[in-house]
Amino acid sequence: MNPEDEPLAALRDSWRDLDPSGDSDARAFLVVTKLRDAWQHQPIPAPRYRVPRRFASWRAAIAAALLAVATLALSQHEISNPGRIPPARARAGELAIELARLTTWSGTTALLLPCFVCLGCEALLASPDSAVVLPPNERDQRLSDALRADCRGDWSGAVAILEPLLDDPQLTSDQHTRAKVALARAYQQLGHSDRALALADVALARPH
Amino acid sequence: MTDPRSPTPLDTSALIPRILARDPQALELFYKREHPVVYRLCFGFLADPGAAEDLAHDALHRLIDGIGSFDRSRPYAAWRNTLVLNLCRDRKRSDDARSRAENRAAYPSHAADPHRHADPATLAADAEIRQLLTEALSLLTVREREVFVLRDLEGVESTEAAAMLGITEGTVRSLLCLARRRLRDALGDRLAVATDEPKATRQERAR
Repeated sequence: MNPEDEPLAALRDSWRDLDPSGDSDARAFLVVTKLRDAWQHQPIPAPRYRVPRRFASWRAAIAAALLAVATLALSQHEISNPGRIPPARARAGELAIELARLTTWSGTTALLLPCFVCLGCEALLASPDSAVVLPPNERDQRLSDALRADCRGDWSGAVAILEPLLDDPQLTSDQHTRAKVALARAYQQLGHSDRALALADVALARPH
Repeated sequence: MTDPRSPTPLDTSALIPRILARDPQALELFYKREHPVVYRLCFGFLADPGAAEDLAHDALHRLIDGIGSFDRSRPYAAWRNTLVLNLCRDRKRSDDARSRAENRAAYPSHAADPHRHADPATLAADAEIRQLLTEALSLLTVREREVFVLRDLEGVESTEAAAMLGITEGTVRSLLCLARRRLRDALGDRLAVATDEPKATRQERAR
């Protein structure tokens, strides 16, 4: 017997055991045979080498705590140095990205981070399908680049990426909103308050 | 059941001493060899490919962590299947809104999917197979699904399946019958059309 046929023969035997009356359930047998064939030929995704969930949890918790401290520090720094790029904020943003990449704990990480990172980051990280976690295409990569630019305080860089991105017809509604929020923040930082305000309608309407 | 996608014909249980010695090559081989079957079991028990992809990784870590406690006088496959089954049951119990959100976020990525660059026909065929299996498994109750996956899809013996599930062989048979009938009623028109059954019989059933 062809080795390929052995499992099928075993299935047929087991079927006879269960249904000795014969072919009354031939139809069910065919269904199961086809499902079994699909089962054996189903695509198996490649292993996802990632930090196990239990480690991701405490890593995320510790990083979130660090980010909270960093954010508090940068708040003080911002008050005393208006107009300067707060280095703690830039570091917090980088940490957030690294954490998201390291853990691929996408949903919860993305939901946790907004509390501890600046508004621009929140704009890009708030969605569970955020491209920042696993950039699957060029558009999402550009969103990710914009976030990095924002975190570095490179407002012009962020504008240069985000402006053309807003015209991208492939952008989903959610991505469009998030790109607008990030752009508003960049314009505000560059002193273009009128443009920032025009874009900020979306930001203000967004629950925070 | 043998796995046609396994990289080598080496018996998995033969790797155990090397895994216990933390031999990196053995760990890699174990991972490559076991991942397909562990994924299939997770998918079968959970009826959710995204959750299965996620849980398969955790299950493999558990297998490696717990392999020291495996009784080598017993079949390895039964030990593995039981561990995966229990993990899936735990996951089902704690499958709250948070984990569902994570699965939704994780599943579409397929960042490391070997079929990612396959031709459109292969991708379409893969998607069709995955959809058919998800649909079929979702039709069954949790218990029916567990029995159906172990017996009809993975080819585990009734006695062994009963031991894994903590039920009697009679219950295994009953659940299997229910599962098969449910699948026949729901998918028969679609999947059993190419039957040798006489046309008149099919028409009679349709009436």
